[in-house]
Amino acid sequence: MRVLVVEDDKALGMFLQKGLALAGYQVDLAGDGEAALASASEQRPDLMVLDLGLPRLDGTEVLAQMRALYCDVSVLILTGRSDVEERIRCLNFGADDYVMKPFSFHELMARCTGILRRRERHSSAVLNYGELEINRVDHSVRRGGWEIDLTAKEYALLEFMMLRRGECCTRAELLRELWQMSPDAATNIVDVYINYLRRKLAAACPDGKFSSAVIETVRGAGYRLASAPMPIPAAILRQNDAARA
Amino acid sequence: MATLKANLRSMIDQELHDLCQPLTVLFCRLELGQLMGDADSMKVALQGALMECRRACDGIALMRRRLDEICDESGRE
Repeated sequence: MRVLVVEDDKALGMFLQKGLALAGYQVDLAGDGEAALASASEQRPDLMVLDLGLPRLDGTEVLAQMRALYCDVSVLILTGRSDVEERIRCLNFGADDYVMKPFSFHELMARCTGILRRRERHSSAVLNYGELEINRVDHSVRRGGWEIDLTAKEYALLEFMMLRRGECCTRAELLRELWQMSPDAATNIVDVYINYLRRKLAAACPDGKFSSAVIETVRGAGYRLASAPMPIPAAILRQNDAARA
Repeated sequence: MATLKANLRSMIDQELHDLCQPLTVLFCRLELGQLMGDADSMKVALQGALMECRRACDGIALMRRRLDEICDESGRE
Protein backbone atom coordinates (compact mmCIF):
# COMPACT_ATOMS: atom_id res chain seq x y z
CA MET A 1 0.00 0.00 0.00
CA ARG A 2 1.31 3.42 -0.94
CA VAL A 3 0.60 6.47 1.21
CA LEU A 4 1.27 10.11 0.34
CA VAL A 5 1.70 12.39 3.36
CA VAL A 6 1.03 16.06 2.59
CA GLU A 7 2.19 18.23 5.48
CA ASP A 8 4.03 21.57 5.43
CA ASP A 9 5.35 21.22 8.99
CA LYS A 10 8.68 19.49 8.34
CA ALA A 11 8.99 17.81 11.73
CA LEU A 12 5.46 16.42 11.60
CA GLY A 13 5.76 15.39 7.95
CA MET A 14 9.00 13.50 8.54
CA PHE A 15 7.65 11.87 11.65
CA LEU A 16 4.50 10.68 9.87
CA GLN A 17 6.60 9.37 6.99
CA LYS A 18 8.80 7.42 9.40
CA GLY A 19 5.93 6.06 11.48
CA LEU A 20 3.85 4.92 8.51
CA ALA A 21 6.93 3.35 6.88
CA LEU A 22 7.56 1.41 10.09
CA ALA A 23 3.98 0.15 9.86
CA GLY A 24 4.83 -1.31 6.45
CA TYR A 25 3.51 1.30 4.05
CA GLN A 26 5.45 2.82 1.16
CA VAL A 27 5.39 6.49 2.03
CA ASP A 28 6.00 9.65 -0.04
CA LEU A 29 6.08 13.13 1.46
CA ALA A 30 4.97 16.43 -0.07
CA GLY A 31 5.36 19.80 1.65
CA ASP A 32 2.81 21.88 -0.26
CA GLY A 33 -0.36 21.56 -2.32
CA GLU A 34 1.25 21.69 -5.74
CA ALA A 35 3.88 19.11 -4.82
CA ALA A 36 1.05 16.91 -3.50
CA LEU A 37 -0.79 16.94 -6.83
CA ALA A 38 2.44 16.30 -8.76
CA SER A 39 3.35 13.38 -6.50
CA ALA A 40 -0.19 11.95 -6.69
CA SER A 41 -0.09 11.99 -10.49
CA GLU A 42 3.30 10.21 -10.53
CA GLN A 43 2.89 7.70 -7.72
CA ARG A 44 -0.89 7.12 -7.66
CA PRO A 45 -1.06 6.44 -3.90
CA ASP A 46 -3.78 4.32 -2.31
CA LEU A 47 -4.19 6.86 0.48
CA MET A 48 -3.38 10.55 0.86
CA VAL A 49 -2.93 11.92 4.40
CA LEU A 50 -3.67 15.59 3.78
CA ASP A 51 -3.10 18.59 6.04
CA LEU A 52 -5.50 21.44 5.30
CA GLY A 53 -3.29 24.46 5.98
CA LEU A 54 -0.84 24.19 3.09
CA PRO A 55 1.27 26.77 1.23
CA ARG A 56 0.88 27.30 -2.54
CA LEU A 57 -2.40 25.41 -2.80
CA ASP A 58 -4.77 25.05 0.14
CA GLY A 59 -5.68 21.55 1.38
CA THR A 60 -9.37 21.89 0.45
CA GLU A 61 -8.34 22.87 -3.10
CA VAL A 62 -5.98 19.86 -3.27
CA LEU A 63 -8.84 17.65 -2.11
CA ALA A 64 -11.21 19.05 -4.76
CA GLN A 65 -8.63 18.54 -7.53
CA MET A 66 -7.79 15.05 -6.28
CA ARG A 67 -11.44 14.09 -6.43
CA ALA A 68 -11.76 15.49 -9.95
CA LEU A 69 -8.55 13.87 -11.26
CA TYR A 70 -8.03 10.67 -9.25
CA CYS A 71 -11.27 9.58 -7.65
CA ASP A 72 -9.77 6.21 -6.64
CA VAL A 73 -7.35 7.72 -4.10
CA SER A 74 -8.64 7.67 -0.51
CA VAL A 75 -8.08 10.86 1.50
CA LEU A 76 -7.63 11.29 5.26
CA ILE A 77 -7.72 14.93 6.38
CA LEU A 78 -5.53 16.33 9.17
CA THR A 79 -6.82 19.53 10.67
CA GLY A 80 -5.72 21.77 13.51
CA ARG A 81 -8.86 23.90 13.41
CA SER A 82 -12.01 23.24 15.36
CA ASP A 83 -14.26 24.61 12.61
CA VAL A 84 -17.08 22.07 12.12
CA GLU A 85 -18.14 23.61 8.83
CA GLU A 86 -14.68 23.09 7.39
CA ARG A 87 -14.77 19.42 8.33
CA ILE A 88 -18.25 19.01 6.82
CA ARG A 89 -17.05 20.72 3.64
CA CYS A 90 -14.12 18.31 3.39
CA LEU A 91 -16.32 15.25 3.89
CA ASN A 92 -18.74 16.60 1.27
CA PHE A 93 -15.82 17.12 -1.10
CA GLY A 94 -15.10 13.41 -0.78
CA ALA A 95 -12.64 13.03 2.11
CA ASP A 96 -12.89 9.53 3.61
CA ASP A 97 -12.20 10.61 7.20
CA TYR A 98 -10.51 13.31 9.26
CA VAL A 99 -8.32 13.53 12.38
CA MET A 100 -8.09 16.58 14.63
CA LYS A 101 -4.65 17.74 15.77
CA PRO A 102 -3.15 17.07 18.19
CA PHE A 103 -3.68 13.36 17.57
CA SER A 104 -2.17 10.13 18.78
CA PHE A 105 -0.15 8.17 16.24
CA HIS A 106 -2.17 5.09 17.20
CA GLU A 107 -5.37 6.92 16.25
CA LEU A 108 -3.91 8.00 12.92
CA MET A 109 -2.81 4.43 12.19
CA ALA A 110 -6.23 3.04 13.13
CA ARG A 111 -7.95 5.49 10.80
CA CYS A 112 -5.53 4.75 7.94
CA THR A 113 -6.03 1.02 8.43
CA GLY A 114 -9.82 1.48 8.52
CA ILE A 115 -9.86 3.44 5.27
CA LEU A 116 -7.56 0.97 3.52
CA ARG A 117 -9.61 -1.97 4.80
CA ARG A 118 -12.84 -0.46 3.48
CA ARG A 119 -11.05 0.28 0.21
CA GLU A 120 -9.81 -3.30 -0.04
CA ARG A 121 -13.31 -4.54 0.68
CA HIS A 122 -14.61 -2.74 -2.38
CA SER A 123 -11.72 -3.36 -4.74
CA SER A 124 -11.16 -7.01 -5.48
CA ALA A 125 -13.85 -9.34 -6.78
CA VAL A 126 -12.00 -12.58 -6.00
CA LEU A 127 -10.15 -13.08 -2.72
CA ASN A 128 -7.75 -15.96 -2.17
CA TYR A 129 -6.24 -17.20 1.05
CA GLY A 130 -4.43 -20.50 0.88
CA GLU A 131 -6.85 -23.04 -0.53
CA LEU A 132 -9.84 -20.74 0.02
CA GLU A 133 -11.34 -18.58 -2.69
CA ILE A 134 -14.35 -16.30 -2.47
CA ASN A 135 -16.00 -14.39 -5.24
CA ARG A 136 -17.41 -11.16 -3.89
CA VAL A 137 -19.69 -10.57 -6.85
CA ASP A 138 -21.69 -13.80 -6.86
CA HIS A 139 -20.77 -14.71 -3.23
CA SER A 140 -19.52 -18.14 -4.23
CA VAL A 141 -16.96 -19.86 -1.99
CA ARG A 142 -14.51 -22.63 -2.87
CA ARG A 143 -11.98 -24.60 -0.92
CA GLY A 144 -9.42 -26.44 -3.00
CA GLY A 145 -11.78 -26.07 -5.93
CA TRP A 146 -14.77 -27.59 -4.09
CA GLU A 147 -17.77 -25.32 -3.92
CA ILE A 148 -19.19 -24.58 -0.48
CA ASP A 149 -22.75 -23.46 0.10
CA LEU A 150 -22.91 -20.74 2.78
CA THR A 151 -25.74 -18.67 4.20
CA ALA A 152 -25.49 -14.88 3.84
CA LYS A 153 -24.23 -14.44 7.39
CA GLU A 154 -21.69 -17.26 7.10
CA TYR A 155 -20.43 -15.71 3.88
CA ALA A 156 -20.14 -12.26 5.48
CA LEU A 157 -18.18 -13.74 8.37
CA LEU A 158 -15.78 -15.58 6.08
CA GLU A 159 -15.34 -12.51 3.83
CA PHE A 160 -14.55 -10.33 6.84
CA MET A 161 -11.88 -12.79 7.98
CA MET A 162 -10.48 -13.17 4.46
CA LEU A 163 -10.04 -9.39 4.26
CA ARG A 164 -8.06 -9.49 7.50
CA ARG A 165 -5.75 -12.11 5.99
CA GLY A 166 -4.63 -13.94 9.09
CA GLU A 167 -5.03 -11.10 11.59
CA CYS A 168 -7.06 -11.80 14.69
CA CYS A 169 -10.71 -10.71 14.50
CA THR A 170 -12.02 -10.12 18.00
CA ARG A 171 -15.50 -11.24 19.05
CA ALA A 172 -16.36 -7.62 19.88
CA GLU A 173 -15.34 -6.51 16.42
CA LEU A 174 -17.28 -9.30 14.69
CA LEU A 175 -20.36 -8.53 16.80
CA ARG A 176 -20.15 -4.85 15.93
CA GLU A 177 -19.33 -5.19 12.23
CA LEU A 178 -21.46 -8.18 11.25
CA TRP A 179 -24.33 -8.23 13.72
CA GLN A 180 -24.44 -4.51 14.60
CA MET A 181 -24.49 -5.50 18.25
CA SER A 182 -22.73 -3.95 21.21
CA PRO A 183 -19.34 -5.55 21.94
CA ASP A 184 -20.63 -6.21 25.46
CA ALA A 185 -23.74 -8.08 24.30
CA ALA A 186 -24.20 -11.32 26.22
CA THR A 187 -24.39 -13.68 23.27
CA ASN A 188 -22.40 -16.54 21.80
CA ILE A 189 -23.67 -15.92 18.28
CA VAL A 190 -20.14 -15.37 16.93
CA ASP A 191 -18.92 -18.71 18.29
CA VAL A 192 -22.01 -20.45 16.92
CA TYR A 193 -21.42 -19.08 13.41
CA ILE A 194 -17.70 -19.84 13.57
CA ASN A 195 -18.67 -23.46 14.30
CA TYR A 196 -21.08 -23.54 11.37
CA LEU A 197 -18.33 -22.20 9.12
CA ARG A 198 -15.73 -24.64 10.40
CA ARG A 199 -18.05 -27.58 9.76
CA LYS A 200 -18.89 -26.45 6.25
CA LEU A 201 -15.27 -25.70 5.39
CA ALA A 202 -14.15 -29.08 6.74
CA ALA A 203 -16.91 -30.89 4.86
CA ALA A 204 -15.97 -29.18 1.60
CA CYS A 205 -14.07 -32.21 0.35
CA PRO A 206 -16.44 -35.23 0.22
CA ASP A 207 -13.78 -37.66 1.42
CA GLY A 208 -12.81 -35.34 4.29
CA LYS A 209 -9.16 -35.09 3.30
CA PHE A 210 -8.70 -31.47 4.33
CA SER A 211 -6.59 -31.84 7.43
CA SER A 212 -5.73 -28.22 8.10
CA ALA A 213 -8.01 -26.03 10.20
CA VAL A 214 -9.03 -22.93 8.30
CA ILE A 215 -10.21 -20.93 11.30
CA GLU A 216 -8.03 -20.85 14.39
CA THR A 217 -9.14 -19.76 17.84
CA VAL A 218 -7.04 -17.00 19.38
CA ARG A 219 -7.46 -17.76 23.06
CA GLY A 220 -9.20 -14.96 24.96
CA ALA A 221 -9.41 -12.75 21.88
CA GLY A 222 -11.26 -14.14 18.89
CA TYR A 223 -10.56 -15.95 15.64
CA ARG A 224 -8.30 -15.74 12.64
CA LEU A 225 -7.71 -17.59 9.42
CA ALA A 226 -4.86 -20.07 9.79
CA SER A 227 -1.65 -18.05 9.69
CA ALA A 228 0.18 -20.50 7.44
CA PRO A 229 -2.41 -21.80 5.03
CA MET A 230 -1.68 -25.38 4.06
CA PRO A 231 -1.08 -26.05 0.39
CA ILE A 232 -3.55 -28.44 -1.13
CA PRO A 233 -2.07 -31.92 -1.28
CA ALA A 234 -1.41 -33.06 -4.85
CA ALA A 235 -3.49 -36.20 -4.32
CA ILE A 236 -6.53 -34.10 -3.45
CA LEU A 237 -5.99 -31.86 -6.46
CA ARG A 238 -5.92 -34.94 -8.68
CA GLN A 239 -9.12 -36.26 -7.08
CA ASN A 240 -10.79 -32.86 -7.51
CA ASP A 241 -9.85 -32.78 -11.18
CA ALA A 242 -11.13 -36.30 -11.66
CA ALA A 243 -14.40 -35.48 -9.89
CA ARG A 244 -14.92 -32.37 -12.00
CA ALA A 245 -14.18 -34.31 -15.19
CA MET B 1 -16.59 44.82 22.68
CA ALA B 2 -17.77 42.85 19.68
CA THR B 3 -14.53 43.68 17.81
CA LEU B 4 -12.44 42.62 20.80
CA LYS B 5 -14.31 39.31 20.98
CA ALA B 6 -13.89 38.69 17.26
CA ASN B 7 -10.16 39.54 17.39
CA LEU B 8 -9.66 37.34 20.42
CA ARG B 9 -11.48 34.45 18.83
CA SER B 10 -9.51 34.73 15.62
CA MET B 11 -6.21 35.05 17.50
CA ILE B 12 -6.91 32.11 19.80
CA ASP B 13 -8.04 29.96 16.89
CA GLN B 14 -4.83 30.70 14.97
CA GLU B 15 -2.55 30.20 17.96
CA LEU B 16 -4.28 26.97 18.96
CA HIS B 17 -3.80 25.74 15.43
CA ASP B 18 -0.08 26.58 15.58
CA LEU B 19 0.21 24.93 19.00
CA CYS B 20 -1.32 21.74 17.63
CA GLN B 21 1.70 21.10 15.37
CA PRO B 22 4.39 20.65 18.06
CA LEU B 23 1.91 18.89 20.36
CA THR B 24 1.07 16.35 17.65
CA VAL B 25 4.75 15.67 16.94
CA LEU B 26 5.48 15.46 20.67
CA PHE B 27 2.65 12.98 21.21
CA CYS B 28 3.55 10.84 18.20
CA ARG B 29 7.31 10.86 18.81
CA LEU B 30 6.88 9.56 22.33
CA GLU B 31 4.41 6.91 21.17
CA LEU B 32 6.76 5.74 18.45
CA GLY B 33 9.66 5.57 20.92
CA GLN B 34 7.51 3.51 23.26
CA LEU B 35 6.39 1.30 20.39
CA MET B 36 9.94 0.50 19.33
CA GLY B 37 11.00 0.08 22.95
CA ASP B 38 14.80 0.00 22.63
CA ALA B 39 17.07 2.46 24.40
CA ASP B 40 18.26 4.19 21.23
CA SER B 41 14.71 4.79 19.98
CA MET B 42 13.69 6.18 23.37
CA LYS B 43 16.71 8.49 23.36
CA VAL B 44 15.87 9.81 19.88
CA ALA B 45 12.20 10.19 20.92
CA LEU B 46 13.17 12.16 24.02
CA GLN B 47 15.51 14.46 22.09
CA GLY B 48 12.77 15.13 19.55
CA ALA B 49 10.18 15.56 22.30
CA LEU B 50 12.29 18.21 24.04
CA MET B 51 12.61 20.09 20.76
CA GLU B 52 8.82 20.02 20.32
CA CYS B 53 8.33 21.14 23.94
CA ARG B 54 10.46 24.20 23.17
CA ARG B 55 8.41 24.83 20.04
CA ALA B 56 5.19 24.56 22.08
CA CYS B 57 6.60 26.95 24.71
CA ASP B 58 7.50 29.47 21.98
CA GLY B 59 3.93 29.17 20.72
CA ILE B 60 2.53 29.90 24.19
CA ALA B 61 4.84 32.91 24.60
CA LEU B 62 3.65 34.25 21.25
CA MET B 63 0.05 33.69 22.27
CA ARG B 64 0.61 35.72 25.47
CA ARG B 65 2.20 38.59 23.51
CA ARG B 66 -0.66 38.64 20.99
CA LEU B 67 -3.22 38.58 23.82
CA ASP B 68 -1.49 41.58 25.47
CA GLU B 69 -1.46 43.43 22.14
CA ILE B 70 -5.17 42.87 21.62
CA CYS B 71 -5.97 43.99 25.17
CA ASP B 72 -3.81 47.14 24.70
CA GLU B 73 -5.54 47.92 21.41
CA SER B 74 -8.99 47.55 22.95
CA GLY B 75 -7.89 49.80 25.87
CA ARG B 76 -6.91 52.54 23.43
CA GLU B 77 -10.29 52.25 21.71
